[in-house]
Amino acid sequence: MEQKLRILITDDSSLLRRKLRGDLEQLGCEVSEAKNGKEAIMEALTAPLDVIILDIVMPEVDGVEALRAIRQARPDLPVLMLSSAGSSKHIIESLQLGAIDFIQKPYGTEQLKQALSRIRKRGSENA
Amino acid sequence: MLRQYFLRQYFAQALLNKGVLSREQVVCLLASKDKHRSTIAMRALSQKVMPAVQVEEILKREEAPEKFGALAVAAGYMTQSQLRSLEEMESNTNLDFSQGMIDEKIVDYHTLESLLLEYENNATTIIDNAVQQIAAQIESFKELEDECALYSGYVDAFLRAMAQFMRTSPVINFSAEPFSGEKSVILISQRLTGDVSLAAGIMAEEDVFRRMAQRYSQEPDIEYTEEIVIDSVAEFLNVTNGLYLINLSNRHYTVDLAPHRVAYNIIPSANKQLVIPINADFGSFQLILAADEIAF
Repeated sequence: MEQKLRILITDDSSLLRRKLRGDLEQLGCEVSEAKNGKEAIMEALTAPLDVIILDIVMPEVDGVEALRAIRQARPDLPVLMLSSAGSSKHIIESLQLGAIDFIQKPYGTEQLKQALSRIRKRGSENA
Repeated sequence: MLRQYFLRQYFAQALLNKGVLSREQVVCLLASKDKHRSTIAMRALSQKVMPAVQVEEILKREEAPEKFGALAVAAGYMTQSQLRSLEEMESNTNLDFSQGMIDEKIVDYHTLESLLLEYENNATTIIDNAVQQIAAQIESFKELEDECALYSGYVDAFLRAMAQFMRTSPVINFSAEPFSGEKSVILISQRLTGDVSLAAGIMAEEDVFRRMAQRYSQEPDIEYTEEIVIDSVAEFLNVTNGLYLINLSNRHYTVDLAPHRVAYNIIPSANKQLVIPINADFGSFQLILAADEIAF
């Protein structure tokens, strides 16, 4: 039986967190939440996580800054960007900083499923 | 593809621009859209399977309306295969809106046929014309053609996002309805910075915000607390601006999005500010556009 992925959702929108939590739990994941980049960095440093999902446009510390900090602290932790700011600049910047995928909002469940499947595959290859 | 979209979406706006319908008539028809489902006669006319003269001839036969298709086939005005296509065709906003105008006896099939033809020929300029009509009312905007073009592009993206994510057919009104003063008025704004500088805000009374949030979030089972309402509308604005940003990025503009801001009961003020009043079936609100941050 596949182990449950422990995923941290980072988004300033309570609506988005709620929807994403529902979708991820349906996909068999264990979910925790952060409201901004600062909280995500704290969680990445302290909590047992398999994946972090980061929005880009957030108050205080945005997703790109958070990604930079998380990659330094935990370079092996997969980070998936999920944002409305899906211009080529944002996608390239995120991928160059080490994000493993970029999903444009509004997301579809299938996109989420595929991204998680790639993460699981990557995890089993690295194991 | 784009042209098909315009043809499905903006007929009501075109009639309002042209003065064929009043704002009250448009609002009334939008509000009662579920009452008017397009008939085979309407579909035959809109798809140019039958001209108005043939449609009216069949309808005058005083037989049950559901026999329209069979009678039209028997008269040789359409084939059985065309009838099947019309029956299977998915209705759309323009078709249902047109049906509403016929049902409410606002126009007859001949007039509708001419209006549809004119609409098809001018469909892609409808939003530009509406924004220009609003801008023309403001003295300082008369020389600002570049801003008008930028704002028109944004308004088009915004209205499309409303149609896609809220399943509504909004129309631009030419004069703002004053807020009642009895309820809180909320403004959510977000700024785009970089090669293009633009701020966009949604301002509405709290009950309209609530209905907008319900429409966007599609979550029937949750309690719409103030936080959920604000987050839902902010997320809609964020997603809309994200799609607009991709469009700009494809044209080689580099643009960033700032986090959204929320204010209550304020009068917004900004550089090159334009207020676009919008009517949707869930209520009226204002889309505030400006060249820089909206001050509050």
